[in-house]
Parts: sequence; C-alpha cells; structure tokens
Amino acid sequence: MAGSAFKNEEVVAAVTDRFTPVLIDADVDKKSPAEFGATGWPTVVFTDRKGGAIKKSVGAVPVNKFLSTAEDAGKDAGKPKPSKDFKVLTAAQEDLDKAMAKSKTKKALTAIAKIEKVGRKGRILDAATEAKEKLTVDGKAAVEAALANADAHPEKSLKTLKALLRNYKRLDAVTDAAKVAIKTVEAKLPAEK
Amino acid sequence: MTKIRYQIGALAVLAVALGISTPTDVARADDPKSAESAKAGEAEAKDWSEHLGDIPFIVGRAAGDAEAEFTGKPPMYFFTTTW
Repeated sequence: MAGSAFKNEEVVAAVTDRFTPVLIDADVDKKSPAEFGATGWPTVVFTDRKGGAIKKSVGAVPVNKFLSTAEDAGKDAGKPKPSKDFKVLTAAQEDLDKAMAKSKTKKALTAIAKIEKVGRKGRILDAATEAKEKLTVDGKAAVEAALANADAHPEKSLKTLKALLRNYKRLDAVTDAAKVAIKTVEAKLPAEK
Repeated sequence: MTKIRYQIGALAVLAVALGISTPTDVARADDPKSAESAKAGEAEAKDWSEHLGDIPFIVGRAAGDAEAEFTGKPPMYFFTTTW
C-alpha cells in the first residue's frame, strides 16, 4: 500500500490537509496498535481531535479505495485547529521569507526572534538559524566594508556603521563589531573646533 | 537459519502484497535486537523510506501526538513494521 498510495498526489493532499501522519513501528510500540484494535500490518487509523478512531484501512488496498477512506475521514475530522504557537511560527516564517527575499534585515531579525521565542525544534527553527547565520556573515562583512572606507570617507563610514547598529539591533555579533568600528572611525574624525 | 529467515521474510512480503495481514511478532520473535528494543520501548533507527512514499510521517507515537497538538490536525496512525 505505502509504495503506491502514499505516492499518489491526491492521497498525499487528503492526508496532509487534515491529518498529522504518524508512523508507528509495531515491533517497538505494541501498546498503540492494541489501543486501536490493529492486529495486522499495515493498518492505517484516522482519528479525530478527541483521539477516537473514525476510519480504518487494513492491509493492502487499491489507491482509489484508500483515497476515498482518507477523504471521508477528512470530512469527519473537520478543519484543523492549530495551536497558538503554530500560528505564531507559520506567520513568523512567512515574514522571515519575505524579509530575506527583500534584504530587510530588521524585519528578518524580528521574525527570527519570534521563532526563537517559541523555541520549537524543527524545520522552521532550522531555517531561522540558517537565516541568522547568513545575516551575521553579511552584517560583519558590511561592518568591515564600512571600516575599510573610513580613511577616505570617515563621516560616511560612521553613518553606515550607525545604520548597521540600528538594523542589526538583535544580532550581538554584528552590533559588537559595529560598536568597535564606530570607535575606530570616530578617532579618525577631525576634532571639532 | 539465515536461509529460513529469508524465506519467512519473503512470505511476509508476499502476504502484504496480497493484502493478508501478518503480525510480525511470530516472524521476528527470534530477533533479539527487536525484542530488546520492544522491551525498552525505544524506536530503532530503521529505514522507513519504502513505507513513507511522499507523506511527511512523524515516526513514533509521542512525537506524532505532540505534532498533532501543535498543528491542530488529528493523527493518522500508520501501524507497520519493517520486513
């Protein structure tokens, strides 16, 4: 069954739109199959939010039959009711993707902070960590570039570094470098009369 | 002994292909590693790739139930074994 039904696009959509697919190793977890009266493998049990079984599919079944079972179960299960954390994470991920695409550092770091606050391990946190690493590299490079320009244009360099300090407010690795660079550049400025 | 195991495995695969439910406890009862893991209640690092198709399964009851609570989508339990 798994080899064909689980590769069918309609089945994948019917399952993932309404259910969380969970694989139980019946060799290891003997309690869970017993709880749902599953005695032969493979057995698929669709449940509702209260944890009760609403549909069951036992053994090898044709793709169309499995699809019909999954769709019926989806209707019975109803629309998903995501947790508050799920809503926060998915919205923050969307914000992060947009911000990274448009190089909006401040917005990207705000989205990363929201994701880190939820602190749930998984794909979204991994993406946030990856984005943070990229921003750190980019930010440090921007500080270095501003510093390299300081001899020729100290005032312009200082302005750039202060902007970096604001935009990378949540990223200590960059703001620390910017603060050191600002002191260096300020020392190069002509003394005010 | 190894030959017999292969024959049991082949019969099990055939049974699944024909839609016959086959409890694996009998076929794998002599596998000390499986028995030990089952006793400990810990999942082995198994290759489930042929079982998963294109569906993003969470492996294990505890992790699956936690994900279901998080997403607000009730679990679809896929009870199976490796052969």
